Amino acid sequence: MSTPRHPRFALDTSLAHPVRFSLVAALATVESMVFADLRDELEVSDSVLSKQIAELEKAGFVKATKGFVGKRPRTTLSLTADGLRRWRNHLEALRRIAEPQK
Amino acid sequence: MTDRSDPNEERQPPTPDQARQLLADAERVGRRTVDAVPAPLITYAILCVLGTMSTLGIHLAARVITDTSFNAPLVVVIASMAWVFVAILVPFLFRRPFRRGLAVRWYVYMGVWAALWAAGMFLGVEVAGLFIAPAFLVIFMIAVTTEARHAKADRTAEVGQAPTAAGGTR
Repeated sequence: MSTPRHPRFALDTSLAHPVRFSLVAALATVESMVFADLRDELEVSDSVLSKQIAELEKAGFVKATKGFVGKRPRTTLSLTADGLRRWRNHLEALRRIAEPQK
Repeated sequence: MTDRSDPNEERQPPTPDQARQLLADAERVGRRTVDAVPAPLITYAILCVLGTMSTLGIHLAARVITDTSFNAPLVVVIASMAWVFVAILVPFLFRRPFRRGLAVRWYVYMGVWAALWAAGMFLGVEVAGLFIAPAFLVIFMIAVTTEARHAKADRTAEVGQAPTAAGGTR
């Protein structure tokens, strides 16, 4: 009988960065969110947020949709279906680490 | 939480305490992002109150005001339509994000409300109006309990039994 792998192997490396972790945590509860609102929510600069969004887009976590409201550009962010699934798996792995007896 | 920005770096897995902290952070961020009471639900409450009052207003105007030169039910319809327009317009001025899953349910709620509203406008003068008016309260209570159930289920699905005492991960 094989020993179950340690839950750390189920952790997603894309979420190791604290800003990325908070970013995905915020997006996981909503349908979508405007870039500026997310920046204010996470209390980070535009450049930091842009960089982390690019990383998460590359990892397939986040989808960024660019549009306009009047003449002003607006970027709306949402989690992909795969991103949401991976986020939930990540939380589950954290739960197993936090409470190994369960 | 320490900043581990290099994804290729050999990392230590979080300790149980750190994992609990991360779960608490995730819960805290998620709670802050969405309103405790979703704003669309407040709009829905206003629309349902308008539905009840308008339907009753049409019914009573048709019954009580006997002056045939004055179309009292039409006045009620026009006034209530103006308020419906305002109630629907206001949320668009504030860009609060929809709780996950609410967007689809919102269309269902609005579809039911619109059907009942149309029934109230056309049948309000009949006895049926007395049954349609309280039906708005019923559909609002269904929406509220549905959202409360989903909010509870979402919290369980996202964070489970995460501890509530939390520091910050930003």
